[in-house]
Amino acid sequence: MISSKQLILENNEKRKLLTKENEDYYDNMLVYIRLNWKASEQQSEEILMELLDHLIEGQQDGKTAADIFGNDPKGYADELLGELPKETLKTRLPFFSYLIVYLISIFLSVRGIALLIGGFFKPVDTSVFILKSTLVTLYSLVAIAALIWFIFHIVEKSLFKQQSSNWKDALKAGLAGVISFGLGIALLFLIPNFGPSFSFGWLPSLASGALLWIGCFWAKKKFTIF
Amino acid sequence: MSVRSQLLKGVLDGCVLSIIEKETIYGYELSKKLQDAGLNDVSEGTIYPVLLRLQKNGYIRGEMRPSESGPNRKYYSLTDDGRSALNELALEWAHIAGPVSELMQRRRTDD
Repeated sequence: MISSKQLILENNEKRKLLTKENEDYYDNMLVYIRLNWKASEQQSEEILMELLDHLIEGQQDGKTAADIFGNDPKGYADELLGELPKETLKTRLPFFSYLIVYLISIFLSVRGIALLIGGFFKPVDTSVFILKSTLVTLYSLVAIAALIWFIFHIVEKSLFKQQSSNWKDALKAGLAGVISFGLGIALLFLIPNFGPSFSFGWLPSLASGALLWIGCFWAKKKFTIF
Repeated sequence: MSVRSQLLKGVLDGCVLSIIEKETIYGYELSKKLQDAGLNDVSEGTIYPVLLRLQKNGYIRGEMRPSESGPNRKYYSLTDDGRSALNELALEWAHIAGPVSELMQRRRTDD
């Protein structure tokens, strides 16, 4: 079996053979199908490659993408998505776990470095309040997931349109980013320091972050997560 | 959608299966074969949702492998389940096709 990774690389090369008109048509379908994270990645890439091969061969006979796939690319892509097998949670789980641990490793490292640098200028409070930290971490993960979903949603809506207003979409995404980031900062200040706490200085923070990061790196190589 | 392509939609699965039964084939070839058989109204892209559905039902098996001309292609072959599904479809079709043709024929002679 040819891996989805290889198929993506091959797809990138082959797409260069398309005429401008056919490429526009095909690109919209490609992004639309890839954005649908419920569909099996392997099967999605295989069908995308088949469509591309077909289009390239048809193009040589003077056919356009609309001649081959019809005048309703979104409807056609929806029909394909309806028949594509679903990705199971089990195959998605390693990727999501990886992502979460990776984010935490980055956060711990950045925190360690910030504490170290901040310490040169003024005494810093390194205590961690377990309940508050858990709440803020949970919020961050949910906010990031929501932000990614929102951006996917914006991109999805911009597809298959004659002209889409890019600056409006960028503004929406930027605004969502600012709001969710601001809310996170607000939480940090509004939730009082309460409950059990422990001191967590720059060194253990940076060291645990770096360790987790190395762990992520190793797991990614070992289990070829993506 | 034209009346003809609506009619075709129901029997396209059977048409695709019957072609794959004869030979292992990839998408572009398959669409050519359908057109050669006289089904010009089937827009070429229609076969891909059909191929996905038949794969999902386990009637055909798709395998990516290098073609003679070089690039990798996904070749489809019939499974045992696909063969029995095709047998059943062919039987059902024979039951319907005869009476329907006769009714349509009679209509013309009554005029």
